[in-house]
This record gives sequence, structure tokens and C-alpha cells, in this order.
Amino acid sequence: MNSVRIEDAVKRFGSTRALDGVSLEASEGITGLLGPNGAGKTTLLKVLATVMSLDSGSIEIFGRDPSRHRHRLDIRRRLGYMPQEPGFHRSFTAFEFIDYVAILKEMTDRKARHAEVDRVIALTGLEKVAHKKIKALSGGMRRRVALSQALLGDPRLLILDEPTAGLDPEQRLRFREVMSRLGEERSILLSTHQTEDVAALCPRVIVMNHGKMLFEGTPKDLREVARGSVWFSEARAPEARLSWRTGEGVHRNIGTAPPGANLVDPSVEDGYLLLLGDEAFIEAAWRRSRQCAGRPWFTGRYR
Amino acid sequence: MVHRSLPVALSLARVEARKLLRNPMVILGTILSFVITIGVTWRDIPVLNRHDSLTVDALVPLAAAVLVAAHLATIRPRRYKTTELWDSLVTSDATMTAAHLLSALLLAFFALALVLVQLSYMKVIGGVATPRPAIILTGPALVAFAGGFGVALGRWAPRIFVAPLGLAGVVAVCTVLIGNTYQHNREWLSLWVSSEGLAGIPSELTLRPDGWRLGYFLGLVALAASVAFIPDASKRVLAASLATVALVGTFLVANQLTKESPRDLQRAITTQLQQGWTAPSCREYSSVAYCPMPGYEPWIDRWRRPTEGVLVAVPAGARPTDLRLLQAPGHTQRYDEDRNSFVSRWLDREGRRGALASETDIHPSMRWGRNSAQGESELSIALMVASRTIGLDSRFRLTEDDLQALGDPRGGNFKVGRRRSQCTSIEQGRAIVALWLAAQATGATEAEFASAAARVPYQAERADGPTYFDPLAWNLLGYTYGTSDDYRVLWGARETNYALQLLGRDQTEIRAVVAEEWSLLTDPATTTDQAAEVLSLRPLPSLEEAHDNWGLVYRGLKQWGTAPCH
Repeated sequence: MNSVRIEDAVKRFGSTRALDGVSLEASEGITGLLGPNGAGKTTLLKVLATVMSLDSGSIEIFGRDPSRHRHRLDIRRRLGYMPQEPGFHRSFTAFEFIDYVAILKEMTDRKARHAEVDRVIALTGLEKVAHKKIKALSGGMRRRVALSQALLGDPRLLILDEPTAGLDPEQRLRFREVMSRLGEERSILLSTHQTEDVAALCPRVIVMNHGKMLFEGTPKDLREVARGSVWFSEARAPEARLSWRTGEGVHRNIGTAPPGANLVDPSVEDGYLLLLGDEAFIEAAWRRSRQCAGRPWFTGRYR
Repeated sequence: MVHRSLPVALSLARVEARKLLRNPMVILGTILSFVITIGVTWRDIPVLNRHDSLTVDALVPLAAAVLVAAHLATIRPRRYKTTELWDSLVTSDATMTAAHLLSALLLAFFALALVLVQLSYMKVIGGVATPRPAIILTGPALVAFAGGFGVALGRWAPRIFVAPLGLAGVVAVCTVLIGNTYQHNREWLSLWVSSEGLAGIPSELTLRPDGWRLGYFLGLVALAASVAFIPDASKRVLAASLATVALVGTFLVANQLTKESPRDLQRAITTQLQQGWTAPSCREYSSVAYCPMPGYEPWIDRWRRPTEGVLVAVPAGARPTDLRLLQAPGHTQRYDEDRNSFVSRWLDREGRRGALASETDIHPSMRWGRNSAQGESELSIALMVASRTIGLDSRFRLTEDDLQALGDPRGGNFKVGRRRSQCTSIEQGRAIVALWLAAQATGATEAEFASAAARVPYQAERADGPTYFDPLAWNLLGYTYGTSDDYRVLWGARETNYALQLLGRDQTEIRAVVAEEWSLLTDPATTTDQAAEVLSLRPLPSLEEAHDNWGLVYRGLKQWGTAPCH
């Protein structure tokens, strides 16, 4: 059974449609949400975290309707949520804060709760700073505190909004390790700007922009979007939509490759960048990818 | 959901209570409560059925701190932007509100512990009588209300500046209520009352609506708690209904608080009179009867020290055989001015005061000093015992001679036969003996007397014009005035300085001379100069000479307007 099912979800803020007819289903495993700022990722995650309701469309989480009070409580008992800007009680220590959230998650047996807090602290490598005040922790450490609270109670659905923002490379590697282990037996939806994280972690990736889903598929599918559109050249290619000089001293170009171009294997980031290009460019990329991939990887309605 | 919410609320309340206890404002409030208790009782032996009200006043700073801290705790999710995370959790706002209220309740138990510690401290430093249970609980109820009010403010107005504003509002309202105390007894509606008045008035003469006031506070607690739940949509109707009930209940109790029934008060005082004052339980030591009011028995030993210190220096044959120290309600400056003045009027009307103020008894008051004030209290008793032993009596009726000595004033209080309760011992030799007897009674009386005499040397003070004022007289008067309201002898600076000379000499020798010349020295007709000569004292300028030196004219007793002691 799917953990999450959304159909034709619409959420408006004034005249802005933060979610514009989004439909998706998710079951066990990690789903990465990619998209620029304002794409609607956070709104989608808030809706899934039962923090926000939809204006129209339907949503089911674990087969429950979050608009109904009792169902919402059932969902929340199986949910771990890390907001984009979680906020912390700065005068609390990391342990105290996570313990406080544990109580709010109805863990009332003190001994068992403290054991659970210790477990998530160990999972996120916070042991050494567990009893330091949060105000004394670095931004990266705070993200780990936020992640720890989301992991409390071993939730069946983890919703993480930009969990790797502010983490150093070592922390990100550790995060990937933890997530890959957790993702084996639960649903994880995470949003990020880091395409490397998606490539490394997510068997499934969704790209959003302007409240719509532009892409849903595997990272490999996303790479394929850019197949034939990435090439090296000695100088900046005038045909390229994006071009930058690499460490090796050559230019990596993305766009409509000229005949005879030195095509290279695309990355997930290339695919992502191509998807977020102008409408005509993306349409062309879509047609090209249809021809070579042979499977639909665009979902939703694209205009 | 209650079966899950309650354990969550209790667990959260424990965490929040710990946080509140560690809040610097709360710590400061706790320290201040001790500072207030220690400060107020520094110079007074606590009387627990009076100073118990101090435990309420002492908790006011703590309550203020709890109000602000509870408010800050309630709005913490908003302050630190955790509302979004909290919204994704299963615990409801109502449960969190309940947790904050419960944490305030736990702080009330902490306040109760503080009260018990403070009462224990008062007992350890010599406190007497029994504290009133309703007052013991009033302070903690105040803290609970402050916490509840802080939570309610946090739920209704989650802005950081609201708590200080709310606190200022409460202070303003209470100040107005206390200001109206004399007309409508509205001071009982204030969260604190004027401890100056209440601590000074013996509780035996005060009808304090302790039970109603505790009920009023509990009503406020219920009101604040139910109002705190109203913003929560799922409990709005229930909370609003409870708030209405609490409001009505509090109003009804408040109405009782402002009703003062003279009949009830009279009944209470009559009971006191019957139980304590008119049928005192006395103990006799060395032919002196000590009759404290119920609860004040431990003070007998405190009265005995100066009493026996005076009597041991009096020749055996001259010691009074009917001396009785009968404790009576003391006189305070505010006593006749405040709302309890009708108690005084009632006592006069019933003739109780007259019955109490017998001609032979000494009336220690219901206050006893400690630390630096212990000497004052001992000197006060010693002065009264010495005066009575010598025969100086402030209670007499004016004679024609008195009026002549006073320059023949007529009218008003100056009529032959008019009862007086104040006299001057200036120019009476026996005053030197009385002052010396009192001063030498104990180490504390000697130190206090020397200190008082040194503060006010024998000299003139100029005010607006060239007048002579004898401040020492008033200074020593203060001792007896603060301790007993029915024994007022004015002492002169000249006699005091002679007594000071006696203290500096060999006491055995002085006692021998005093014993030998007792009849002469205690004769009302013996002048200060004659007594000084008998006692071989270094002569001091007479009042006339001193006035001449100062360029003033001595006008005799007319100068003080007070009749000489008989």
C-alpha cells in the first residue's frame, strides 16, 4: 500500500498557486524533491506533514484523510517532520529539546523516552554536544538536532525539508548513510537543492517548478533528460544555455549541441538544469528524451 | 484522547516547572522573598499569627517573576519559531496549555515549601504563636494565579512585551485597591495588602477574612486557567463556560471580602478578651507575675531578664510585691487611624481598655525586638519596672498644682481631675535612680542606654527660632511608646546624663549608696541637684544655666506642656 497519495492538489497563497494540480504516490523508499526556490516543494511537504491543508484535491496518508481530526492524529503518530526552518528553543540543550519533542510525541515513560532520545542522538552523531545549549551549536549541528527529533519514535513516514542545508561534506556523508539505512523500511520524502544527494540517495526523484511537477522518475531518467545536450569545448559555446569552465580547463556546455560536438555523459544536475530551462528548450528536450528513453518520465500537466 | 493527553501534560509540566525554577527571574524572586522575610524580622521576634501575612507579601516578587516567566514559556514556540514543527505533532495546544498551567501549579507547591521554610526560620529565631492555615496557603495561591495569568496572557496575546504590561496593570489595580482601604475594605481584593498596617496590628484585634481571601485567590486561579483555554477552538465552549462560572464565583467571594461585620469583629475580640486578656494564664517568678497572652508564653523569659535585673539592684525591702506584667495589645501609630480604629473605639466603649489598664500592672506589648532592637525592648521593660518600683506613675489625674506648674492652662484636656497618661520626670531626682536601675539591668540595656544618651547629648537644638528642645526625652519615650501604650514617662537629658555617670562607676558602690539613701532618692520632692549631690555626681549645668548659656529663657514645665509625674 502507498504511504502517500495526492491527487490534483491545489494550494493558493493569494494569487499564487503554490501547488498547482500536483499528483503523486509514494511508498517505501526515498523520494527526492528537487526544484528552485518557490517551486512548491516546501508547501507540498507541509501538506504531507499535516501542517497545512489543501484548497482542493485529495490527499491520503497511510490511507487516512488528514482533514479529519482523528485521522490527522493517527497520521501524526507515524510521522517525522523536519521543517525547512525548524526553530529551536535556544536555552534548551540539544538533549532537552529532543526530549521535549519526544514528550510532544506522546512518549511519556521517562526512562524509555530518554533511551529513545539517546538513540536518535547517536544516530545523528550528536553525542558530544547533546548537553550543550542549542544557542552554542553551529548551524550544521542544529540541522542534526532537527533531524534527530524527526527520527524520534521510528516514524513510518519521514518528511525532511532541505535536511542537508548547512551540513559539511562529512556530515552529508553521514546523513546519506543514515537515510539509506532508514529508507529501506519506510517512506522518506526529502527536498533539497543538492542534486548530488538525490543522485546518491534517492531511487526516485521529483522535480517541481511553479507548483507543478515537471518530472518524476529515477535519477538515471533525470540524467537521460540531458543525454546529447552536454558537451565539452575549448571555449564557451555560443549555442549553450549554460556553460562553465571546469577544473580541467575545458568548458562544459549544456544546451542544443552543435553537430560534431564532444558529447559527454550527463549528470543528474545536467538533467535538472535542463528541466528548469525555458519552455521551448524543455519541450525540445522532452521530445528528444521520448525518442531515446522510450518511457514517459514527465508527469503532471506541463504548459 | 484524555487518556493520552494527561500523561503528556504531566510530563511536559514537569519539564516546564524545572525550566521555570531555573529561570533567573524566578531565582531572583525566590531570593527576594527570603530577603524580605529576613529583613522584616531582623529587628522583631516574629509573632506567627501576625507575621504569617509576611509570607504572602514576601512571595509577591516571586509571583511577579512567575507571571513573566510563565508567559514567556507559553509563547516560546512563537518566540523561537517552532510552531510549524509543533503543528506536525500529535499533542494539541490545549494539552500544552494544560501543561503550562500545571507547571504553574507545581511552582505553587514550591512556593508552599518556601512559606514553610520561612515559617520555620521565624520559629527558629524565636517566633511565637501559631500561623493561620488559610494565610499559609494564600501565598502559594498567589503564585499559582500569577502563573495562570501569565499562561492566559500568553495564549491570548503571544507578544513578548505583554507580560511586563500585564504586570504593570496588576500593580496599578492593586495600588488603587489598597488606596481605598479605609472606605470599602477593597484592599482585600488586592493581591497584596499593606503589611505595615497588618503586621503592626495584633492579629487578635484584626478581623482578617483569611478564608474568603484564600477562596478569592483560588477563584482567580480558576478564572485565569479557564480563560487560558478559550483560544483553543476545540475547547472554546467548555472553557468559556468554566470561565463564566469562575468569574461569578470569584465575584461572589470578592463581595464577601469587602463586607466587614462589626458584629463578627466584636465577637472575635470578646472571645479574645474572655480567653486571654481578662483571664490570663500567669506564672510567678521571684514574686513577679508574668501574664502573657495565649501563644506568647516563650516571651516570659525575655521579660524576666530586664525585670529581675532591675529588681536585684533595688533594696529587698523596697521591691514591689504586687508587680504584674500583663501583656496587652500594643499601640501603633496606625492603629487609631486605619480601618481597625473602631476596634479601639469598641474597647473604650466596652470599658475593656480601662479594665486592662489597671493602675498596678505593667503592660508589655505584643512586640519584642531582636538583634539591634533587643536592647530597646529590654530597656523598655526595664524602664517600666524601674519607674513603677520608684513610684513614677504616668497615670494620674490632674491637680490644681499641676495646672499651676504648667502655667495655668485651662480648657480642653487641662482640667482638674482629668485623667492623664503622660508625665515628665524632669527635675526629679528619682528619675536618675530609675534611669540607672533600668540601664544597669542587663548588658543589652546598658549598651542601649549608653547609645541613646550618646546620640543626644545635653545641648540645645535650634529649630526656626531660639527654642530649647530636649530630644532625649522623646527618644526614650519612644522605647515605652513602641512597647506599651499606657505608660509614658518623659525623661530629661540632664537626668539621663547623670545616670550615665552612675553607669561608669563601681556598681557595687552605687548599689550600696542607693540602698542607703533609698527613701531620699525616691522621694518625689527630691530634686535632680539634690540626688546628684547624694550620689556624688559631677555637676551638670542646671536647665536655667544651660538656657542662659544658650541665650534662651527657661520657662519651666510650661516649656513641655506636660505635667510632672506624681
